[in-house]
Amino acid sequence: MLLSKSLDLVHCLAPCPLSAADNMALDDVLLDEPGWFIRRTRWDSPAVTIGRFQQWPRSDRQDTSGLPLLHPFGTTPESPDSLPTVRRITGGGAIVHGEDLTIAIAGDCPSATFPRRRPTEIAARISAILAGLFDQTASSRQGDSKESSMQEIANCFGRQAASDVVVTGIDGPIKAGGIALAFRAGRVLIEASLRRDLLAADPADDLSRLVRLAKTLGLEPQQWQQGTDLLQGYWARKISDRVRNRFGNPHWNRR
Amino acid sequence: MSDVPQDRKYLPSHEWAHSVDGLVVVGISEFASQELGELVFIELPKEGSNVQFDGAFGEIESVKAVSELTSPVTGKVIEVNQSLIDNQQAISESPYDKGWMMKVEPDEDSGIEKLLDAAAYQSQLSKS
Repeated sequence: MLLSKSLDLVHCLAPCPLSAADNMALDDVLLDEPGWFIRRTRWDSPAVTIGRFQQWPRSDRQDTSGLPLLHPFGTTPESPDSLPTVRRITGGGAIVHGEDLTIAIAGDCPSATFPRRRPTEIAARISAILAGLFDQTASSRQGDSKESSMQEIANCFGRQAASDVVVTGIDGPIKAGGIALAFRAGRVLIEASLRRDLLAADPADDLSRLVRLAKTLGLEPQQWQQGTDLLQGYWARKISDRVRNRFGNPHWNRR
Repeated sequence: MSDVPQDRKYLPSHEWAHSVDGLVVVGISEFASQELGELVFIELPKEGSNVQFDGAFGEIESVKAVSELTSPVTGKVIEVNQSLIDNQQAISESPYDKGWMMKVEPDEDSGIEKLLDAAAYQSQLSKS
């Protein structure tokens, strides 16, 4: 008799738009919670996230940053045009959020889904799957890339990495998506930002795309938990603690 | 196959501990450094701080991926390898020598007896 392999269930989360600090706190919680999670991240206002070890981007250096004015989340901006900025727990460069499709996946590593704790392997696999979720012009950059030489470029979308999702432009590939990861105590968090304009990513299709992503990873999606309900009680306390201690703290964000 | 020195003990998460002159020297294995790939940043504990067995003692970023470092010993951090801040490549090039990360004065209940010996760690690697 053939026994079918049981799939890991994945909790599907689509919370209401949140502040940058709440969003990063929720991802941080998911990294510590048992089980698999996939989420769509929405932003209550435009915001920037920067990489875990990234230097605070200098907005006056447009050549290397290409970023708007920034202020650490939790401080008063000097200009109304300035965007609140939160430091992620994942690596990589700065990303302007608000009009992108932002997603996160958290689960065990090593595991059947990710057998090895090898960042480049995981990122390349996610990149290839993400590219396949969109029109046929999207692909994963792949190949070798001397990524450490990109550290001086503040903006994630100004850097090149083998795990980029790219589309074909007149002058060559254009970065349409970036991936960053964090590993902690046998778990992995994968965050991805995808440019809706380049990928024709209609928000109405977000959740069905994420279900396809989960299934391609060999996970069994549960029903979507949407809106504000999932941010009550247990979750709210966890998020609040981490906002207070880390993601809402200007010293963490602009260290 | 990665090199696994016999004179030290290991966590399943690939950190090693080497007892030398009453201190425990800590680093990550060659396998771990190969898995992580190109390293770009490291954050290590402050000298004089305390670390806990199986607790985080720092973080390391290979490109786009930040990994928590787990302490194989409970005790007080006596010395940190500051040269790694500017030269993370020493971890890849010399994980058991120049790539050491911290020296810890172990507590009486340091947890070090719970670590894998080289044979058990090698066995873990052969299954991965």
